[in-house]
Amino acid sequence: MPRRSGARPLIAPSASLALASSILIALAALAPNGAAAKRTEETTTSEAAPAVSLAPAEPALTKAQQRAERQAVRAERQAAEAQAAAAAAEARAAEHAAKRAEHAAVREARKGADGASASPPASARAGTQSAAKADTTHAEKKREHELQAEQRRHEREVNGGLLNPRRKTREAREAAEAKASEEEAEGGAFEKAVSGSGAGRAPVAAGGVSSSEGGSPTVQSPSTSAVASAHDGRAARTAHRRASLRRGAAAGTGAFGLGSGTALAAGAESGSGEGGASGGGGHASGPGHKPSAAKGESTIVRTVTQIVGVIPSALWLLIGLLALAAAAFAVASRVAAGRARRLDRQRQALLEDVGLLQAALLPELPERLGPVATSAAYRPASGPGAGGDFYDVFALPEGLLAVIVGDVSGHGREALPHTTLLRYTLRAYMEAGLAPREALRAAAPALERQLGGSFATVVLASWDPRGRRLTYACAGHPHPIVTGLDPSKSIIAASAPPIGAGNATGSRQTVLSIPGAGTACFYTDGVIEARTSGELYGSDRLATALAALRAETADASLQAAALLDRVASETDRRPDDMAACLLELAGEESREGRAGAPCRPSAPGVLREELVLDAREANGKRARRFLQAAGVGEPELGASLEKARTIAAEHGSALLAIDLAGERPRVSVLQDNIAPLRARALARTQEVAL
Amino acid sequence: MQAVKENQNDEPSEVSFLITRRELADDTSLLSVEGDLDLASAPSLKWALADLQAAGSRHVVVDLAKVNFIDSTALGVLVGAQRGLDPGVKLAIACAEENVLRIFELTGLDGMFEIVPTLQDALGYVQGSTTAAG
Repeated sequence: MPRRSGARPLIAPSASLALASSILIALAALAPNGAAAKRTEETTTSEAAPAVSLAPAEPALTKAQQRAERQAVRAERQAAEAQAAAAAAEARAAEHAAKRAEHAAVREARKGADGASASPPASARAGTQSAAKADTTHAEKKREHELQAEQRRHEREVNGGLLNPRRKTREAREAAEAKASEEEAEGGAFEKAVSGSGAGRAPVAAGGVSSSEGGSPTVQSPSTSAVASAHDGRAARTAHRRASLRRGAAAGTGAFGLGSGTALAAGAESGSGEGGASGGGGHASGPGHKPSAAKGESTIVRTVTQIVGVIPSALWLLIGLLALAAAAFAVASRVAAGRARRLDRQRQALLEDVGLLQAALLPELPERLGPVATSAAYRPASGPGAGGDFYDVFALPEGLLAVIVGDVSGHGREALPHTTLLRYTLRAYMEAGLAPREALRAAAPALERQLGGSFATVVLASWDPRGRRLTYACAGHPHPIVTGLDPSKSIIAASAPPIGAGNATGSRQTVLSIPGAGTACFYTDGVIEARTSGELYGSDRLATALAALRAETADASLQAAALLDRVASETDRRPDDMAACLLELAGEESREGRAGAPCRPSAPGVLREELVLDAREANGKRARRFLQAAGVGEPELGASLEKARTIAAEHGSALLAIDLAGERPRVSVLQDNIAPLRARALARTQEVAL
Repeated sequence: MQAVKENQNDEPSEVSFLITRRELADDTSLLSVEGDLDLASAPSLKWALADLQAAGSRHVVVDLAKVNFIDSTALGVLVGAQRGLDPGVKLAIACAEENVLRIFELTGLDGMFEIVPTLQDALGYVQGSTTAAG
């Protein structure tokens, strides 16, 4: 606590040793009626103001209890010093005034003796008294000024660091109050000087009863009150308390008074170390504490303020860094969120585009085409629209219904244009009025040129609701499955190769009769080539699933999806895309259908199998196997082949047609030259175009 | 060129798959396939056939005796090989497995290939064809 003392005109700075004085002051505070204590007070430098002003700064430093304790003790010491200094100042001033008064009296007496009459002691006394009083007042005022200046200076020093604005306003307020009280004190002193009352007591008052003397100096300024109480040497403790109480009553003394009061109270309570978190001064202040609290500062705000006040600079740096990091993170996350949103939007747009493309490739089927409920489903092996599967169901002009289901070799993007090409080309030939086999045969050469090396398997079908006949032609594609028909019984011998494989296709066609209600299922090989524990799913399992489907799913438009779901649930590996297209054929029209053909059985069956042979094939094994598979035996088989060879040799190709509706298969060999077929197809296409 | 070359490809598929190459005769290479010929293994077959074709005008016999299943992708590979053959070069398929024969039949590709039951038949076909062509 090295305090400035050079600018103290009334007090000798040399004698003041901070340590010694503070110890003595502590003693004086505990046992205040000792003369030694009094003397010490007098010798103490004018550290009052800084000491007192430090007190308000101290409450903020409350982090640790130990620290608070230390502060309390220090504040106490400082307060005591302040008192001592004040006392010394007043005492000296009084002494000085008394001496001067004496001198004046002596002078006057001498003058009086030298001059006219003997002596008018009353006037002389009065003069002395007034002079003394004036001097005292003057000294007091001066000291107060200095105290304030010192206080402000010190506070500025302290506040240079981390003091908050609240404290500063408080200081300002205190300063204003101090000034006001000073002015009042001046006024009081002036009055007294004028009245000249309490004549002989002026020096006595300097001796130490100023606290009881005038209410104004005591109450007006905390420092004054502290000084005053300090002067009450006999009952310093009581006086301190009283001073504190008065300050509390004075309402608005603020931290300045509070500090001293605090210190004093703490001293009176023998330096109790109960400062705690609330701060030594703040806690110990007792009565002095209340006015500031009453000013509207909530405890929470104060506590927070105090806590903020004691945060060390290293922590501030850390907090700053953390705040910077937080800000950086916030910015980064904001940027990331923005990017994520943008990507999400793009992804959404892409998915919509893919959806549009897929819709172009895999059209929405009409739920019902005449008496037929249709449904289709597609399950890519991986990714959206990855495969080359395609399907279409559409009405033909003659009241027929056409189905196209196919699979282009290869997957992904390259396959997509081909699927569209195939679907629309084949559809055009079908709409031109060609039968499935004819459409395939006519379209295949054109398609093969455009497929650029890849090939496609496809099944074309047409459903005639009046004749209740399903006519289909496969090109390297699995046969459709119809409920009530054993798929393993279908004749696969001499099947037509895929489009684009190099050989002519559209050589095979099958006509089924479906008299009652039933479901025809067209699918891609991905369905039957799915694996269930290493085994192929196969067409037999698919037929079983299809038969069970009608009982499971009520909604006709979801039948295909339900079928593929079932396949998926029954298999563990599905390496290829799966597509299924279902025609649910109602049974109502069966009576009409049967009316024209009364002998037809109610169960579905194969009516007719057709095979087109060119000259070379007519000699081959395939034609023979085909006839054998249809149940045609010798000698009809040989005769039919011989006839086919002849026709093929003459016209380029021959058609072997086996009628299976009767008891025994009946073979007919017909001319089926591709040249007139294509010419007819072209003619019909032109008709459609017109 | 009597040296026997071996070229093995192990596919990390569920079903073990193996292609072995060796020389059947001076002008004929044999590709023996074991396992399932499907989407996963078809590329191996494709590269093996491409290697053979790049090596020169040699007949090719593909032995599918130990193949249980062949899918459309693998069939496409065989079709591609068949169509890419140089003039005078023959490709024969040796296969007696009913399932595989049925697949060939179902897809109508049985008419495209010379499918014979044994390796001897296959060799006889390619050699005979060559002789006939020569």
